[in-house]
Amino acid sequence: TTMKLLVLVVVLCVAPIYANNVGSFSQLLKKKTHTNNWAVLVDTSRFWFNYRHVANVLSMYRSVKRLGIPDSQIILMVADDMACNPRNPRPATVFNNAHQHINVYGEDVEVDYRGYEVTVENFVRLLTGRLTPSTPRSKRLLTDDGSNILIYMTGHGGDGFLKFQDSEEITNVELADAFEQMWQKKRYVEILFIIDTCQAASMYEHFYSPNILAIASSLVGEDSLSHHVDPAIGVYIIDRFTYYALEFLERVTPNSDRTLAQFLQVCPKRVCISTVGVRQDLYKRDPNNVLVTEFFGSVRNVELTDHILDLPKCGGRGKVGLNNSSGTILKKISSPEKYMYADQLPIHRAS
Amino acid sequence: MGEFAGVLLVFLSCLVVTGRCRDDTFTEELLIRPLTSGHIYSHFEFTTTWTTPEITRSIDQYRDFEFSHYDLFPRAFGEIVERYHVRELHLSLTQGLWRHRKWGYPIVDAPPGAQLWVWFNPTSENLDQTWRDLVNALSGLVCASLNFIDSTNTVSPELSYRPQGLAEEWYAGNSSYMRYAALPRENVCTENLTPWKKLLPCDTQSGLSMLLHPVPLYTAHYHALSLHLRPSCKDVSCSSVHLELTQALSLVQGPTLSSSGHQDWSLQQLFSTQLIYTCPLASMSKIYVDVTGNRDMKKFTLDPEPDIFDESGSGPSLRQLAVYDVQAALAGDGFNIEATYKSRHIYGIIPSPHLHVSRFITGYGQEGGSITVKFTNSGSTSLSVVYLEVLPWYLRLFLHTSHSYSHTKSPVYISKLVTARDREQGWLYEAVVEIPASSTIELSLDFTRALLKWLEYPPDANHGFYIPAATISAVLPTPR
Repeated sequence: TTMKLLVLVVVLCVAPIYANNVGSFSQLLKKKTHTNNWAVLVDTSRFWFNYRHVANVLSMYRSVKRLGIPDSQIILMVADDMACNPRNPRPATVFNNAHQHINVYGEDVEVDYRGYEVTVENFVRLLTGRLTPSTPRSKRLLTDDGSNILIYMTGHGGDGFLKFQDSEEITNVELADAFEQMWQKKRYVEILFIIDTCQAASMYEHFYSPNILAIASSLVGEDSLSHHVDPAIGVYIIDRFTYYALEFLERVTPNSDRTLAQFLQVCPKRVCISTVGVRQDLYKRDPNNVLVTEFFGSVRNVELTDHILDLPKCGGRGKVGLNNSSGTILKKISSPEKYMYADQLPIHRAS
Repeated sequence: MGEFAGVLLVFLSCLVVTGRCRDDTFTEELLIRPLTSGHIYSHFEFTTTWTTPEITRSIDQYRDFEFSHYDLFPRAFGEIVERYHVRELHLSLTQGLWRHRKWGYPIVDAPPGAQLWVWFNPTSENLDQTWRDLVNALSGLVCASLNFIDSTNTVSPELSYRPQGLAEEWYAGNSSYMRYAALPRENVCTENLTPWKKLLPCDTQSGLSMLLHPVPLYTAHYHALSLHLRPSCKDVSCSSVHLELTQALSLVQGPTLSSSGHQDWSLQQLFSTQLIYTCPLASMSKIYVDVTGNRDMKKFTLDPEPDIFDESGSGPSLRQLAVYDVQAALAGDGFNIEATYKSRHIYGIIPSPHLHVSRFITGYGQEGGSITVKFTNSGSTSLSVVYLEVLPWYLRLFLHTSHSYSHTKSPVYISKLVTARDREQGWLYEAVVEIPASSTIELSLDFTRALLKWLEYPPDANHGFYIPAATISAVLPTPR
């Protein structure tokens, strides 16, 4: 009966996602190409006048989190602190709109790489997985051969490079090589690469690894423009492409059937002023058949099994996982005569 | 079979008598103290204690902790403590400067930025490497850039930062077991509050942690988040010990700005929410309001009426607290404490605390200057304090210039000095200073700045360089 209970619980968890297609449930499972979703969201700009780049990346973070990707699978890199910046008249908030419609910073944000940690070296090490052994789990991209990754980058860019914090750059060749290393190590199934900078299309020119769909907010020779100024803050607070992308994503729900092809049309030239560039030749599937939630949401794929598992009995005496070394190896516990606290000001030792 | 029945009987009786048999307890407390400068000082303390035979053995024998069956104690933090031979840990993240001259002494003091000091268990492993791994793990836990702590900003002071938990003389006197580092440039924001809140058993759903909304917390003049882990006595008799994890949050906010010059405040106004649910996992949940100097409700009235009044100390160290038991009070709708002042706040002369210190840089330009510290002892007896200075290697100090100016030539005894090595090790300057009664002493250290390579400048070099705060350790004659 425990097995039946397990199957029932599993079906109940998965049923809301596939509410419409209960019958063709197993067919759907076979069609899916990935098993988990990750997001790498990078803001590379520092200083108060680049407030809009932080608002951009936080808008994406908010959408991705709302659609189901957990914090443990989101790597958020923010190069400067805008929310608690002394110049922010509304501390602990970052708005995407001058009328303060949405606080994209939220109350639940977890930034993994912040401030001076956002460097080209850390970014490439993150993508390729070549991190020092003491790097904590929240700073690692633990993707496997069943992962779909959404990579979003924003900041100041030029023809062939993206500027990190006004002190270094990543070139399109380095980025393409990093993706190839990921492909060789089977660290992704598909990547959706979105970049919102000036001359953004130059960053995807050199990609040569399969299964990458790239969207850029402007073509080479064009600048990406920002949307509007907030007079209370005094700087532009969001870029056009991300503003309209956020507008589109706010209307997407976890079981929505909006497709990537609709997302590619999110910012036509009359609102974006720059031309949105798309690179599709490396991507085998037709964007009309790919759901937006396959990159922005989180798939919790469940494998139904019909062979019986023997679960060990729980609640036995003795602790789980601890080496049973008590008694034989250790000497008899001798508690001190009297416990004492340390002398807090041992000046007598000095003289 | 017989002993099994005996164990079962004990287990059942335990359940019946106490309701639950727990190794760990969780208590939450909030102290609200109106300051004479017109601000309100709020201090949250969430304390989780844990006792098991394994923990007691680890404390007695100075061995690594071995935790199992996590319940109230946060597992994310416990695994870091286990793995990196930690016995005692103190981490604080602070925004703003605590003004001792105007606000008196805080319950938990913390410098602006990040500060981490750890006492490790005696182990054969290389503690420097363990320290490096620990700061990386902690940076992932609290979403702060603690991984910038390395040999250039780590020191082991001799007399400052003694263990606050149980420690025998042979251990407490050996400072090779401890490491101290401070990152003054680190800022605190919601991303640090989020993982800190997730370490609490009740998270933000219920109990006093419901009051922790980011916007009022970060609009405060002073905000400090801290984590303190130490082995301590369970009670006054100290017959048994436990491991204590204290999560503290200190805030200084200013309500006189809002309501017509009166220092009125309420929980709704300070934290933009009321208390609605009580934390079922807390064995005690109390709010204290400091009513010292408000005998018979002369200056301000509290609504609702406090449950009891608690008085301690006498004379200048008298302290009276109005105590509210939150668990008893949360019967119906929200619980909100309001204080109404009878008259406008008068910005008068604030009596100075027993010891206060001012530290500043003199000189001009980028080439050099001098770090000057002014100690003021306003008490009637002389005080001996320990002054600790941790400086980066690129400030080349001229130790022969360390003067002290005072009427009486009181000697400064240097207890530990570690000279800096370029790009490898920072300065540690620790001295014992004696300050005569009712006087001011000034110490200064001249320095000149070293020329840095262009890649060693941070991306926002226009800010200049941040120097960590100095630490003064003293034992004051009166508890106030």
